[in-house]
Amino acid sequence: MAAIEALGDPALRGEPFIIAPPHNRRAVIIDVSEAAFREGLRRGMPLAPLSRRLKGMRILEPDYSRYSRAEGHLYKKVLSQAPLVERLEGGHLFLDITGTGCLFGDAADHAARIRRSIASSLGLNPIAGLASNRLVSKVATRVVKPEGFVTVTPGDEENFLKHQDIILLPGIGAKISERLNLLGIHELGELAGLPDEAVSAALGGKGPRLRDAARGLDFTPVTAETGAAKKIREEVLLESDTNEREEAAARLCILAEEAGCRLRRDGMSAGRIELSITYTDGIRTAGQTRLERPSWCDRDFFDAARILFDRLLQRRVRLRRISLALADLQGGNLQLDLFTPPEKIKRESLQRALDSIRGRYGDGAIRSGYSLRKATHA
Amino acid sequence: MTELRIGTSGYDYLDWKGPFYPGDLRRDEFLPFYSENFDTVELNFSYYRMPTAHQLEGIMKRSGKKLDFAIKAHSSMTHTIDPHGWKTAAREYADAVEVLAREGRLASVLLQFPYSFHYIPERRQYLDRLIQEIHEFPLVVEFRNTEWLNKRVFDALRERQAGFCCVDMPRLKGLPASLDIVTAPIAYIRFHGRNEQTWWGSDAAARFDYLYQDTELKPWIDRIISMAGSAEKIRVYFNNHRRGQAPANALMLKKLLTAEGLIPGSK
Repeated sequence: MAAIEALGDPALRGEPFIIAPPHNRRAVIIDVSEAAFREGLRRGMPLAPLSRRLKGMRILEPDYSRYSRAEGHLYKKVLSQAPLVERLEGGHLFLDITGTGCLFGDAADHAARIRRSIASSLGLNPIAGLASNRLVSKVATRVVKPEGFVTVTPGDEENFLKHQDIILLPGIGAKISERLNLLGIHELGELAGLPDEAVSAALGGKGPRLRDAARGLDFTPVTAETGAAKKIREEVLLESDTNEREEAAARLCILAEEAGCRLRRDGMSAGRIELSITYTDGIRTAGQTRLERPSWCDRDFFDAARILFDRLLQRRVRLRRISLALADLQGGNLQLDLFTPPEKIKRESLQRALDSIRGRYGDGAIRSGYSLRKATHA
Repeated sequence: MTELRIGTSGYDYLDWKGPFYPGDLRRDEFLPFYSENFDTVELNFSYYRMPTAHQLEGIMKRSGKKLDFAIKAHSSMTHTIDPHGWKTAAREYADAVEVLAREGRLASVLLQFPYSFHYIPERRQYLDRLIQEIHEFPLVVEFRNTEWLNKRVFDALRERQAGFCCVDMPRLKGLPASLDIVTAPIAYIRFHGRNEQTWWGSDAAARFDYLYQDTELKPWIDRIISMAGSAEKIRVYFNNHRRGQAPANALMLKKLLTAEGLIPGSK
């Protein structure tokens, strides 16, 4: 995200800046520039304790639509470079180039070529890790971050991982890392050396799997993108916790509009809604619901999400965060068929009109009346 | 725009007469001739004997005005470290190298550590102190032991603005992973050759006996360009010095980069 911002504004290049929701004292850093990374700032850091450190540093509001578009361009760029391309959120891609030696030459050379091609055509400088499996490739990119390219020779995976910090391993977050540190385990080689009993005692059921991962073992295939696997997620951290149902629902409406906008930009439809709400005390409740028929209309998403929201909201505790995801995506906005109810036709026509206005005058140019309730309740 | 220069590790090889130096060229004419073809050289005599300011002044004088120098650290700083005497050696080395820095002819000091330099607390502390001791110079570190190739080390190099030496070598198990990473304003690349047969269990001459084909160097163009995005200057040195292979490959790479529209250095 920071790379995309710097691309759009030359004044940002080489400068320390962060991306975070503005005017929200409980926000966390979403992304950092390379210069900010060198100053020790990291994604996920809460903003409030950093106020002195961030003095004079630019804080940019996230522009998710722009990031999503850039990710789309990146994905299209690499599609011709590998038989299998898996796309994850945040512009992360896995490319499986196994067996392409005759077509593209040496794997490391091909990877370097892809990297350069992305830099020259999109202006982004991607971090790249080439390895015999997804896991080691992922860790490799974390090792060289914020920039670089690393090739791990097949057979050398465990050696490469040996002295890396345990926090670099996917699946090890702050809590597990802390637990392992207390046991004197700081590097992946130390985790890799634990026998089954010891690692299970330390980490429970996931212990052996993490231990094997620390050895560089991973058999997960790269999965080519299908609509079923992909989701579009929008979430909001409320400026102040609330137990006003209607206020929260108004925010939900905005999320539905924003997710819908991204969905239509990708030329997709969604068949399922996933919703999660997080209370002030950290407790999270989630649910999902299937739409009567796949749709690309904000109103359909909001209507389904609102029913789900009312079902999930059972506690008399204030809400802090709401997350909405559109899932079971399929390519191509659906064509009308003979059996489309008239109400739906009307809705789709309205959506097209709304998108046309927003396309000309900006996303905020026109909103549903329901979403404007957020402003009156704030 | 990133300043890119290509040269060789050392220039004073008798077996370069014929393949690179004209057959009748005197030894004291090697450096001037080298300077007509390249704009940078990596001095490696300094590993074997402690350089002096007088010596380096003489080298500068004979090399013309444009050649810049990367200079290898003396073995007492990297290979045979005396815990009580290393500081004195480092200062003696620094006093000599200062001459190059003062004239704007110093590209970098190269700290090349052997396989036996393990990733243990004492060695990490030593490296940190050594970098502090000679921090006035642009520094580049080459590790032969793969234990050092981890995120903590890269972050530490970034914090200290010390460069990381990227290498091209055989892709054999146990050798360092191939890493293109820029941790300082200087990006540094050494080509050691890809002789898989003689890499282990041979002397240096046999190990680095290799001539790259242009099909092997061409992919490096992409990698150099990617690294140029993060570096103010790039220095590339060919260490496959046997029988003039290094200058042959350096000229080959220069030609490939020129064909791409990149101008290596000021030549």
